[in-house]
Amino acid sequence: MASLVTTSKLLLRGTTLRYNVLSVPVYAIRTLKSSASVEFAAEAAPSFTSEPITKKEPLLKEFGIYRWNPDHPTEKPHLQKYTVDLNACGPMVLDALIKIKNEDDATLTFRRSCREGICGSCAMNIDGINTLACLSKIERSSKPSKIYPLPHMYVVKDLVPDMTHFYKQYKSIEPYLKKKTPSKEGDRENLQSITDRKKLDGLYECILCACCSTSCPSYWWNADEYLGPAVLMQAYRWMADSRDDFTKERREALQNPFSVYRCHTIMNCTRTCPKGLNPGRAIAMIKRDMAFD
Amino acid sequence: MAFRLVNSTIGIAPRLNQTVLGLKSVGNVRAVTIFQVASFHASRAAGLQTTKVVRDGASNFTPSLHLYILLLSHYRLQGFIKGSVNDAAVLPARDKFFGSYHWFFERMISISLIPLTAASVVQGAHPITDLLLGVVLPIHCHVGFDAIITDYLPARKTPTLNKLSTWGLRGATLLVLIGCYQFNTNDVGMTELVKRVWHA
Repeated sequence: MASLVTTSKLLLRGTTLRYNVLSVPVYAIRTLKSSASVEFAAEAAPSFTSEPITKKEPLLKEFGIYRWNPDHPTEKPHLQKYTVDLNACGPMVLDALIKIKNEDDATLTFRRSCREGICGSCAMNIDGINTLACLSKIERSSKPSKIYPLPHMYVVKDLVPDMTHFYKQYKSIEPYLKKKTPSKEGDRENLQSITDRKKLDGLYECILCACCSTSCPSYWWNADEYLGPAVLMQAYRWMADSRDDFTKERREALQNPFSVYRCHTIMNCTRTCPKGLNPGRAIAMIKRDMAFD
Repeated sequence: MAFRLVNSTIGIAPRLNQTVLGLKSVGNVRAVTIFQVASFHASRAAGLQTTKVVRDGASNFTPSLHLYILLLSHYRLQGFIKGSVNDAAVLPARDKFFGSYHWFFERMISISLIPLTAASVVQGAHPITDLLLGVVLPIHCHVGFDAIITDYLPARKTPTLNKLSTWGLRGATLLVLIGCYQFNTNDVGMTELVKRVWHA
């Protein structure tokens, strides 16, 4: 639904520009009624030209998008080309994808939700970099752009990767507050000093988009046993929490060659994180604390 | 939506030394009533119950015997998702020796190479630094190669190759250790060798 709303908004904006407001038929005015400015314009500033005053030349950009359809599993995945007029499109790659889906090809499949970098749904590989489509600006040139799903993940369809294993790994680190003393009725919140709270900054902001994990070569080769930067940073987020009573046990659960120690500080995770976090540092902290346990 | 409120006194915050429903507030702290919410999502969403997943390609499946024989030579029958999608991934067995001890040892070996190399560069050849280099350097290399084997030829994916390469590496390291010792005691020594190659 959200995408449909977006299109109708775009179309409406186009309509107000293109037509003389006085000559807009009645039904169009009815659809525009939600916008107060349009009604105001109809009364106060009628345009006497039927053509828009400023008209931008179309700036065409080609997008090559990875396509694979599970209904035809024997067909090889391929890069399908779409041309988008950047002057009739929003600024972000997600806007272009939605425009393509609305106007060119409704079968194009991708995940998106919040369009402001807080849900992590639209994580994909854009021009070789794992990032969120909603946060990555379209380069305003005619240079073709390539969009792939997150690398080394099983693909469900087109740009949609299978995140099942990633979430299962996240579950394995028990990402919730654990207390040794059971809370009694009438207990208040688990309090924490300001300094202790500050230790969680840079960790709790992670939205689990999996951009970092899927940029990590170690995760590519050993994803079944290595937890990957995103999950490890969340593991550290609970180790660093002063309110949690299972800090040591959490570290002990990772005492094996694969869960943590497949990290070779390649640091692709930190370089690619669309939220500007540093999973590499969090893993280093886990290693340090485990060595002194 | 089955919300069941227990001890619900909505809108009334119990005050100091006031007993509400047998719950007495303590000291200066206002007791806040706890609401228990009965669980209401025990099964799959109604919209999904009408669909049945036949095979998703990811989880394990048991094909018929005929298909089994057909597939056996081509595919591993186990999907990459182990267990149900709601189970947590199982972490490998705990072993501190292959966990933090190994990492700590690895770092110590690497750090100890810094003063050893510096001493050899500044001081020139000395029997003690040569002997130590002849031990620490092969171990350092062994740990590095071993990491490559663990990364690219893990036992769970390539059991035979893993065993072969691990033992091959152990043999090679042993030979190098013996060779370094022989070279340091019977020949010019490692530092002198580097020096001569450098100036050659």
